[in-house]
Amino acid sequence: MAAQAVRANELVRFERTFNRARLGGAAITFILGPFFPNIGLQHVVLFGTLLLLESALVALLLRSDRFVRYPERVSQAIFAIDLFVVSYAIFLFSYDPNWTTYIVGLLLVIAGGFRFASAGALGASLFMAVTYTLTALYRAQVFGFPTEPQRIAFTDTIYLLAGFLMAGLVRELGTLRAQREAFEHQRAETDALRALDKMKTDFLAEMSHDFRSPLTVVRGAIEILQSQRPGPLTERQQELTARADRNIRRLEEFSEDLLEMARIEHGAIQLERVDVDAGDLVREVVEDHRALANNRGQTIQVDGTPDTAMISADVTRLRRAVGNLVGNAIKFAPEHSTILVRTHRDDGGFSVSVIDHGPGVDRDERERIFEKFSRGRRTSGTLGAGLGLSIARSLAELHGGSIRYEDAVGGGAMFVLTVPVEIE
Amino acid sequence: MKVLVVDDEPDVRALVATALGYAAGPAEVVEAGDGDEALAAIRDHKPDIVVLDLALPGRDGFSVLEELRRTSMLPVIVLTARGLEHDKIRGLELGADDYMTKPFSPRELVLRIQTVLRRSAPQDRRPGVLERGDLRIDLAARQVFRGTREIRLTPTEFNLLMELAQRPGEAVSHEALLTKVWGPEYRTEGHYLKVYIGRLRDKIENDPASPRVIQTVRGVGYRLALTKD
Repeated sequence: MAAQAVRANELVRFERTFNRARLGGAAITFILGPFFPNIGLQHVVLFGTLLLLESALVALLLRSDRFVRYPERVSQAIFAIDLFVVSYAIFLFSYDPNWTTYIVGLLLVIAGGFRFASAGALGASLFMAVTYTLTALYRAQVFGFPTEPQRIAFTDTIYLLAGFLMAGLVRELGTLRAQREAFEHQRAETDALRALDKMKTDFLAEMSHDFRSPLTVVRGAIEILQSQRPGPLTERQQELTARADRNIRRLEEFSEDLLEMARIEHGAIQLERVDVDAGDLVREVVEDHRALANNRGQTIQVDGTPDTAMISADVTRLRRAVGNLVGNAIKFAPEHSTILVRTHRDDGGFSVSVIDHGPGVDRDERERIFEKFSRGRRTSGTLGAGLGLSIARSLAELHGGSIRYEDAVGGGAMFVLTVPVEIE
Repeated sequence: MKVLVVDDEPDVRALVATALGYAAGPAEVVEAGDGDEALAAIRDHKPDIVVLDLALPGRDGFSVLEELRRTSMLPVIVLTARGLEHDKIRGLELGADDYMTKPFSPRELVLRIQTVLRRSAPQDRRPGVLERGDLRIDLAARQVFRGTREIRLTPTEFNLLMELAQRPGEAVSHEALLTKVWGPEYRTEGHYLKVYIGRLRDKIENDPASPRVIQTVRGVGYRLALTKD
């Protein structure tokens, strides 16, 4: 249905253009006709009038119901009229010793191509070749001009070649149009997918927002219990509250990650930049994670150039980005291994590399792990929603920096976060 | 101390009340479930501090804060569930003294309540009067006048102004201001300072868009351009 409407619109456009060409043709006939003394004035008037009449008829047809209902068929009819009118003109002026009107036939090859693609172009060229041949033979016989078969062969070939070229051109245009349509279709699909994705993020964010009051109450209650102010806890009770506390914090982290992701996707994050020593910031993040690493028997080593690097950063956000990298290393590296956090400063900015002895990341997954909700296949058995790296990278990028993956020497993963350093 | 806790969830109110009950020093807790109740409770119970959830049914927390600030400089800590910069900053701009993002630790909330109360308590520091044009800051009386009209400042606003006034004409760093006015744990929370400087300028400057009294020292902090008596 839609395709039909598009085709009908296209035909209307073509026919309007061609009708203007007809009026132009009539004008040329009336204006220039008298300057060709070989052409009889009565023939000029006859042909000009014929063109005007056809043009009026087409204008009427374009407005009629018939055209709306059968655009293709009406257009074919108009084209047929064109062919006969032009053939008639070629025939009409053929008594002229300097007969040249057959050149007009080429215009019909073009018009046919536009209307009906290859069939139109080739059909028109064949029709014109036949018209030309018959008229040439007719004028030779009736008016006694020489037959000149080589001229007939030449002109007919030109007609056929023009049809062939026009058919090729139209086919090429068709390919371009198909490509454009495919591209638009694809874009519409991408837009739809993106909208769906946004809906999902929004929904999750909304949900995790609603989690927050209940989380406050549960976490708060556990904290108060653990403070033993309401009463002393047995060892078993302490163990249970500790476990509850750990898990409520995981839930909290997850809901915070979802919200942060939604904020990033909405472009709702405005960095609160302050001048801060990047080295200090990294050391603080490591200190915050030491207890977690100790639980798994891991050691975190900080190694870096002693000089300070002042950067302009949103401290909470940058801590979070670095923290996600360190947290990942703790999560994925084996127990009792060493995690190395190395800071470095050069012309490219300040960078922090988090290097572990974990399973590393397969080559084909190295970009995918930065997508949200994605997890490397070597991480099975560990917990997480797959948001940490995605958030970390977005936050680094908001700071004008980046995060990349590299293989660590001796296996394991190395994530390098780089942020620009202000010129001092 | 008397604390008004405003939250539409009874469990959250009960949690805060419990935490305050275990805190050092006697604490009386008044609860309100929505904005209108909150304003009525402030009138009737005269609390020392308000813990105000921003997402309330009906009249929301922002509007309560706005209404409250029209007549009172009562210390307010807002609770936000969304943790959006926008909400925090709007809360501070409307005159909140501090904010906490849910889920918060009750222990930390109690600490913040105590910090805010301590900050708001009158402190007698270096008495004196600072003047510039028709602006007069009476440090001893904690009052600010433009001509004969008094400009009302919240305790935090006054503390910030005072911190700048201690060293008139000198640049005071962001970090120093945050540490002194809010506390060491706020050292990097630049948006508190940004919002409060904006509030002070709105109240004190003739043209807050091009401030002359509280000047920005790029990359460092702020400077109070005043002459001391």
